[in-house]
Amino acid sequence: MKFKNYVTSIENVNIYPMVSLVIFTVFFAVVTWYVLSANKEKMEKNSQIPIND
Amino acid sequence: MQLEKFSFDNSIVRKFAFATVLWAIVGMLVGVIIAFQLAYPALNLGISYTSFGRLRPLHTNAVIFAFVGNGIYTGVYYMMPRLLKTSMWSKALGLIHFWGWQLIIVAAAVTLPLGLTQGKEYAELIWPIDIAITLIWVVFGINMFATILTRRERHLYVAIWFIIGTWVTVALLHIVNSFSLPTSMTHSYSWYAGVQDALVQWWYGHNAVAFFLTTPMLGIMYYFIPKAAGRPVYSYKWSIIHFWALIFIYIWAGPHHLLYTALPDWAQSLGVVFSIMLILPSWGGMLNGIFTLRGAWDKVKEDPILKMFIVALTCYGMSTFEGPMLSLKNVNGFAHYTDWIVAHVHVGALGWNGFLIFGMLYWLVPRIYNTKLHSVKMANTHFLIGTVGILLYAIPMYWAAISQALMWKQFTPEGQLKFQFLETVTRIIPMYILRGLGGTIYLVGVIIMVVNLIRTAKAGSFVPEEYGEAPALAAQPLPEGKAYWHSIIERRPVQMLVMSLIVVSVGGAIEIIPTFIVKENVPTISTVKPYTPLELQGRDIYIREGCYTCHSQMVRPFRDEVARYGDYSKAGESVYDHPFQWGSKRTGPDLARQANKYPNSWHYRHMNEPEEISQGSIMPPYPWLLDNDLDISTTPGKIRAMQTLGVPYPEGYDQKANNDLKMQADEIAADLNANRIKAKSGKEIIALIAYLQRLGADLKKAPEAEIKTLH
Repeated sequence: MKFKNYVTSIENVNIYPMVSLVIFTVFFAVVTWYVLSANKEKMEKNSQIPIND
Repeated sequence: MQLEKFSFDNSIVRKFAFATVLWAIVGMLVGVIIAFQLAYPALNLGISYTSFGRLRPLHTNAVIFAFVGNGIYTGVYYMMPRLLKTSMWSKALGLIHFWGWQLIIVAAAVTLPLGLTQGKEYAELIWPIDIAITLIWVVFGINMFATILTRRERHLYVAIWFIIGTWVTVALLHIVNSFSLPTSMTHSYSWYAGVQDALVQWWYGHNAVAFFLTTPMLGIMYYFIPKAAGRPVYSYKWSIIHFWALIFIYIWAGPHHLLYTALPDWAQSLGVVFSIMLILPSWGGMLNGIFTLRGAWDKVKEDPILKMFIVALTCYGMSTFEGPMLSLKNVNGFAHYTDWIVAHVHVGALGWNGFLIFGMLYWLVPRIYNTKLHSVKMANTHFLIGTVGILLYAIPMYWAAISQALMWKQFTPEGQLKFQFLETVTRIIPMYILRGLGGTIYLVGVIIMVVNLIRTAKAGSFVPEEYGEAPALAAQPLPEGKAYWHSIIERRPVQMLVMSLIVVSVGGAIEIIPTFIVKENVPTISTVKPYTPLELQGRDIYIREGCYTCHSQMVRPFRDEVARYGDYSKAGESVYDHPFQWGSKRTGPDLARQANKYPNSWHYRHMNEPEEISQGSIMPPYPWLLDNDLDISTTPGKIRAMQTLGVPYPEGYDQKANNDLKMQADEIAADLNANRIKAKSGKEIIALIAYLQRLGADLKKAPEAEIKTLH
């Protein structure tokens, strides 16, 4: 409840930016891999959904 | 395959569309009024309810949550059942959502002019309204997810992902940022203080822009632009990257609102890096929208709806280029606290949000009335006037910002500041007038639209329900061929929700958690003590009057700021500030080093009539502070609340606080009387003076005090 109860310190807080860089890179690699490998016909079909409603 | 019948409820769409237009006019009208107040302070009328500091939150809340909010719901309630081939799950929940949201807006419109506020930008509404927002948001969410779960279209179209992402993130932002400890039905203190409050607030504030003013708009874009153009979105693959990249990156960017402040450096750097990266998904999305119109340029020339969409996308592109540029520390050091930021948000609000919603209404209203738009010519006029309005708004603001920032930073050859703060304000007043005119012209365009839409409605006949038919989802065979993992998520909305929540939580968690748990991030300063009861009451008046809308309390470590205001601000100074009051705009000077800068009598006269003391000042007068009795019955409760939040008042101090308060008030009143001002000690002005005379005093009192880190 009170912010008095801080953990005294985190070992190596510098790891945070590194962790974020790794998460970011992995995340984008995965999304890009998916998009490149996706089925083109299905993509086109999906993009027609609003036109055909 | 057996076909099932279902209906699309247009009456809820009509209700939201009506509310969108109504609140657009209200919100923009208040905007025009406060724009002119900055040029002509007499327009504050000398009464509390209409003073700038109270109306400005009304304007921002009305435009963001009332105008754009209802615009979003209009779009969602129209497109969602159609994209999912089903009816909205519950008409009753739709109605609760509609009326609940309007009641919240009305409550905001009543409480904000009354000065009931939490004092955090775009999150000013008092805690009972915050709870109401949460409940209504949940109602909206239940209705939306139940609709998705009862759909007859297996694939969730990209527009729906954006709405899901919006829903989950806004819920997270709103709840985390609104944590506060009530002291009465209308008053509460932010759970967080100082640096932590600032970080949470701008994590919220920036992502209110991202997830209320951007992602739902992108959902609307991905539906209505293909609809209006009669062709599918340029690249569906792009839209997938667009969605995931945007929601992932946006959430990190909040700290760019706090560059050069007392926020720890590593958090600032993360904010900058991710802000720069935001260009990619933002521009990807913008280009995806614009390229959708490829080969349809002949239509764009004729059709006012497509023209509005093009300008909306262009403005989106401009703001999302400008935003990352403003996050560069050197640009930010120049532009922050100036009207540049005001211009930046208005290119987004007027251009991107406004024009996208107007285009949507021009497309949608004739359809639910089964007729054609009353006048294409009027719509074209609206387009033209609106565009001129945006330019006339933005250009003077950029001009004002650049000239003012240059003046702030200018030194004479002798090493003195060249301009008094007030001089830098009076020089840009012509720009404020032009900006007001730009806003007025834009508003005239909106009124033309209203007339056009009303005539359209009168010419047609309202279609309360439209019907469709499709086979039940269970009866549809799964698509053949290899299933890719993402298509599995696309079919499972709950997983989509969870994934979105995880993706948006990462950035927030990495930035916020260390600031909370690592003590080194906020070095304490031994001389910084809690506010006295009188100062605490004065601080609440400062918050009530919305002083933070024009005054910062954050001196950045620049030569000109240190010369103008005093020593730069440190994180440890605001550890007892619930909420923080660092501000984001300097229409008036910074106040972080206000203590003992002027005598009490100066403040007394200045609050009564600023012009009397500083000629040409555009600050509103606050004569009611001289008349209002300070309500000291709230003091014990406020002290207890502060104790709960960790402010180290001695045990049992709540009962002694008012004695101390009266003693301090008597001292100030005696000082005023000695200066031939007949002031009574029980008035609000005394508390405000006490607070202003405390700002930065702790550092001045003991300049030799060591800054130490507690272990």
